Amino acid sequence: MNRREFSSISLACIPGISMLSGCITNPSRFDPSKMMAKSFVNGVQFGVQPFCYHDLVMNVANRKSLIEKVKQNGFGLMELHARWCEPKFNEPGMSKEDSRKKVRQWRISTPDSYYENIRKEFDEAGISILNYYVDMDASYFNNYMDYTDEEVDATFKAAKILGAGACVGSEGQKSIKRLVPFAEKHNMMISVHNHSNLSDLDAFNNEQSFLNAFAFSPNVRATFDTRHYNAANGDCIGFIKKHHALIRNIHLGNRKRDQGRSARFGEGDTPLVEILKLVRDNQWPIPVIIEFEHGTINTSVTEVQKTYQFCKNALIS
Amino acid sequence: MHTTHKFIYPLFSIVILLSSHIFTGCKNGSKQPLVVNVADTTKIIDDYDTAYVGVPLSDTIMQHNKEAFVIYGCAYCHGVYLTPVGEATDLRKSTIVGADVNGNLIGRILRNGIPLTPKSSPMPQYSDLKDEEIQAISAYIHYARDIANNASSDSGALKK
Repeated sequence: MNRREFSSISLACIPGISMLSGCITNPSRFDPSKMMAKSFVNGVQFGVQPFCYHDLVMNVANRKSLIEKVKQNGFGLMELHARWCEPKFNEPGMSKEDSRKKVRQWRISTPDSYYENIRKEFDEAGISILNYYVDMDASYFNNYMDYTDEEVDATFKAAKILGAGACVGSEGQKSIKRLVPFAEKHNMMISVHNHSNLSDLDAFNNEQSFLNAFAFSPNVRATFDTRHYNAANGDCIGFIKKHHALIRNIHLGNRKRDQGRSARFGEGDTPLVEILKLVRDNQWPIPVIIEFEHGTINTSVTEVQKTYQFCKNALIS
Repeated sequence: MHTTHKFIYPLFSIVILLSSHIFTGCKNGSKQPLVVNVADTTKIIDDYDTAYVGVPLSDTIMQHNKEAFVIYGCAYCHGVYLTPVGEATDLRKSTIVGADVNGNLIGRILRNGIPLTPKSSPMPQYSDLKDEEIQAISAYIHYARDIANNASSDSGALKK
């Protein structure tokens, strides 16, 4: 180790101290003391959204492969989609109605030990689950999403067992309002995730839509997606500066403006470097979850590593 | 200079030790020290994901077209072999693709996107792509659609 590397590491520790002390005094924020101590870069906690592993179908059978990939990329934090946990009931010949009934029955009757065992898998790999990603909104076409109250309740309970502090999905405003009492009951957060659809008045797509949700309850937070916000011509930096206290985590990704396409880190026009430096310099306890949908012919682990490296380089400059 | 080094190194060591103490002290039951990553200048070597993209096609032009389809993110939603993911349109059944001639309709959609939609994520626009890139993507969609529709019983056909 040379002098420069030694100094970098030492100085890198300092922002983490203040960040952690801020979290402890404010339990509604991300709390690193309950997380595995991995993937911090100059005081900024990184994690990964498994959508990045495009070559892996989201299902129970692939969960072990997912964990291996997250480990290979060196992350200690991630969002976990319900599809990695919930079995599918779509045997040949089964009607949609029967399939739906079976899923519902499974959700409300699955013992705690099922999720405890899943959590153990992640704990042993040194990976904490920040949020449980689950769409509980029937407005989009997936016949598994029309959750009954019992299912919603069971899902929040499952998320809590997994160690997640929040449920997050792609629900609209009406659905979020419905989910709030369940989050409150379980002393959890419901985190609102934006997309770029400006034609849907119920969608989360701009600052006002987030403000509407924040007004529902103190248990509402933002999972702020930089890709979609930028594509919807929003001001990512302005939003983060203004609402950082209510941002549970950032989905860091890159899209071009005017509903533009996804682009590799460094090639689009989402202000990724500025966002990372903003979080670092203000020592905000906002985990940055890498999520991209730009295409690649690389293996997913390599592409994730490249995007992660882009972030590391941004944070030492 | 040498003396200065002797002084600075222990000073930084103290900072690290203090930091480690604070971090481990505030972890409930966790004894892991905080890992601080610094930038790694090691070059990450590009590889080729045969499991996802498939073995390179012997037709090098079509392989180029396929890579354009993948690299620009089309495959993320529409699938490398046109089996859609989530709410994306199934290009194997799309009437627009069926009526397209040399990218005249596909190109229009790529350049403009589909901003007005009830779906959570509208189809993005690709107006920054060059005509040749649009042509490459269109050509691959037709190629993959023909194979998928003509050989639906052999789902591995495209990989060969």
